[in-house]
Amino acid sequence: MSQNDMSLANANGATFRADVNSALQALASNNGGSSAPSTTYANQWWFDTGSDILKIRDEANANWVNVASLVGTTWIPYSNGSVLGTLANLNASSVSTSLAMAAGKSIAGALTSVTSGTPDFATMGNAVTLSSTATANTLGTTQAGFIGIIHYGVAITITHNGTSRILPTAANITSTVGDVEIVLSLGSGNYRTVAYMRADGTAVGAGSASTAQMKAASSTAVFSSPGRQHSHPAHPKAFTAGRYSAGAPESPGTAYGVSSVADTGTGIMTVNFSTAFSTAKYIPFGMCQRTSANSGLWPSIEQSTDPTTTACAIAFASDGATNTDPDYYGVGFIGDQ
Amino acid sequence: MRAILTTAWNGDVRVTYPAAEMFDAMSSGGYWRDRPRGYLWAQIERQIEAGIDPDHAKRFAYALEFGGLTTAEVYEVLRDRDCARHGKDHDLINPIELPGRWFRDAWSRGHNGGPVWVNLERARVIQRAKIDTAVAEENSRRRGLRKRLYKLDELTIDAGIRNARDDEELRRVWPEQLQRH
Repeated sequence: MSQNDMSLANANGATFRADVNSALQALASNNGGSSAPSTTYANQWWFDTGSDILKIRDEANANWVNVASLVGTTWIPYSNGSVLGTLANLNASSVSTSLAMAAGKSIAGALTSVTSGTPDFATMGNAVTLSSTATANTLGTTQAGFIGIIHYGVAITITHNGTSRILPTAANITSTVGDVEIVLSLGSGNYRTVAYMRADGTAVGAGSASTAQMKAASSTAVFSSPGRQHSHPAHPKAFTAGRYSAGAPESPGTAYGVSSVADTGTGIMTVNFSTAFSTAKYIPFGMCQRTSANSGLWPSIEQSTDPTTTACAIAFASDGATNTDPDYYGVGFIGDQ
Repeated sequence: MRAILTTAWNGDVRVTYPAAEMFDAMSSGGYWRDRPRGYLWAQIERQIEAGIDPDHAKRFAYALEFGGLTTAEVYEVLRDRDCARHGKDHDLINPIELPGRWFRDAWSRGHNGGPVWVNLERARVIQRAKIDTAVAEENSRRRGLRKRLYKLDELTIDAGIRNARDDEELRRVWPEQLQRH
């Protein structure tokens, strides 16, 4: 290896010949040396023997540009100043077109099965399936930005940790078979769950509230769903409305949480609940209308029949004593079921 | 929609109208599907504590939870659960077969059940009470308008009530100047 200024000076025969040979050897060895040639030209090659990198002078003869790195006997090319050759070293700016994947192949290869211990994304790729005695409180150390997928084939508790295992709503998750979790690496072995879908299709986190959460009425991190909103303490558990004009109280077509309405006399009806209250101390409410009289009419709990967890007798009266059929009524009940 | 007729233990007539929701629920089941494990048993226990026969409570709860019932079976379940403990002689009727509600509290049935008829003696008392109420309301209105109070011709009214031969004739006994409601 040698370097030469590539400029033949006037000299005697032996000296001139030595200068020509030195220039030819420099060309043959790509100007190999641990330091750059002292005289440079645009598009000149230089193999840096200090770092084993083949370089070329840029068009402006201002900078050396890395072309390839020699590692052992393997040449690894550069692109935009970075080494190519492995997917781990790819970055967005070095890839001008999308990567084409073979049909059915994932980036990491296979879905790695973990039957005991914890999965390690650093060695297992980006998709793992847990079964048997596997756990998922640590996931290995990967670079920040790595996205991993965990399929649960076993029911285990995933413990929230504010640094290393950040779960939605900061609450532990008990997995069920078939759940799928997607985690984002924050580096240094720390992960944040960005999505957790139950086997039944419901999401954990900003998903629907459980019946217990609805009854507790305290969470601000979940939303009520149509099928569970009736569990909220302030939600009416039963109601019915109708008219007496049809001979009535008419069949309770407008009803919720009611199994039947019994007409037991003038201005008295019993509402039977389809779901029993946990206690008879629920809250009846309602209104009624009497269109043909001067005095008003009010619903009240019938005086001789105590409310039970399964039924409540309602009396309609204007003076508290004389029961009268209303033309229209609507009554409801709030309490714990 | 049909109704369940019951003779209450005190002889009164009770008419129970099933909710339409029950027919869907007892057909398809899953009524308490979002509730925690054991809720079905809690419901059965609560109904029993409320005085419902244990077998009736169980059948009602099972019907809501597991479904599979026909329309006729739904009426049966509701009869047992909502009516049985309140009386006897349960019959499925069309509500249009019932007498008018004017004499609702005079509705009666035979000792062995059957159709509803108006007990005329009880109806006479009801008619007189309704007239008294109408007089009171009319005079309340007149007091507000500072008008002379209405005076009921009691002899004529009482005679009419006493001599009425059926509930239709009895209902027609009413002071001409008073609103009927």
